[in-house]
Amino acid sequence: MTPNDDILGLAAQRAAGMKLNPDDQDRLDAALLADPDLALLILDAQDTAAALSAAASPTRQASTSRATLAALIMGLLACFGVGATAGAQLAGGLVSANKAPSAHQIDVRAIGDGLSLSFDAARKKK
Amino acid sequence: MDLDQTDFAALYAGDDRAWSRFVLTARPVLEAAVRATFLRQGLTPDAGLFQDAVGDTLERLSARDFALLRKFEPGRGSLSAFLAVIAGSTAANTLRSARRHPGAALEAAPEPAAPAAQNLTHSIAAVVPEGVLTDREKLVLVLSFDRDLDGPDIARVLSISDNTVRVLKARALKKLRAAGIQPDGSFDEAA
Repeated sequence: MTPNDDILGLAAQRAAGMKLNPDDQDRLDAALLADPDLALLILDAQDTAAALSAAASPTRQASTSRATLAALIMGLLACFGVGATAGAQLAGGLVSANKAPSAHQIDVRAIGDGLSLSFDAARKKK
Repeated sequence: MDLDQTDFAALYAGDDRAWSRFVLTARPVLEAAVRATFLRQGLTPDAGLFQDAVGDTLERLSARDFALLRKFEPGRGSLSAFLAVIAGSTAANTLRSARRHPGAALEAAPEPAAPAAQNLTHSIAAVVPEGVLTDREKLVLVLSFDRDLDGPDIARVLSISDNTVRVLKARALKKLRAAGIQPDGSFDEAA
């Protein structure tokens, strides 16, 4: 089994799952016909890569879980941020909708990802 | 670091750190492929020979400005499988070379039968008259009968579907029967 580098490259491309152009495919077919053991080389390589990938998957799964959790937290923060802005508008609207004269000033504002509710007893409306 | 994160641009530019990172991440794949080749040939990997094969693979990958490695196009396939083919072939060469200059590790290991010699007398390809089968049909029969590969394995090697393999094989056998040839190479007297 001594394929030259050209044929070996084609066999490696085939094992890797890369699509070959028709000319290269014909050349690889001819090489396989001349030396069928090249087929075993391709199969062995695919099996080796699959086994290594399977062995590495638990670590990768843990890493993926952490990434998913981080994305979920970021998503919740983003949602909360948007909610805070909308909530401030809603709360502000509810407060100002009360037409009865109030002796106090209530401000509801979105600050960062949170809500700020301030109550100023000193600011009496005249 | 993941093999899929290989910085090929830096590697091809001659960046020593990129090469070191590549060697570090590729080594497990190369070692696994070399080990598989050694075991297939009935050898327990000798440490020296084993490292020779891994080193030869790295040398082969980087030779002539990475000509062989450049055949891999990132994002279009599995780099692990690509490297494993190169490592497997190089390990076979290393073993062959060691047998020519036998050391202690290889003295007890029998030389595997030469596939080409096996094929010449018994290969189905040798008994099929020219022009009866297409190359693909002939190849499917060779892999099936000469190497005992099953349909899914032939499909993987040729990058075609299982169904296409079945169709090619059935069509090839039908043509052979029509020509009075059995898959074992014997001629059908009745035909």
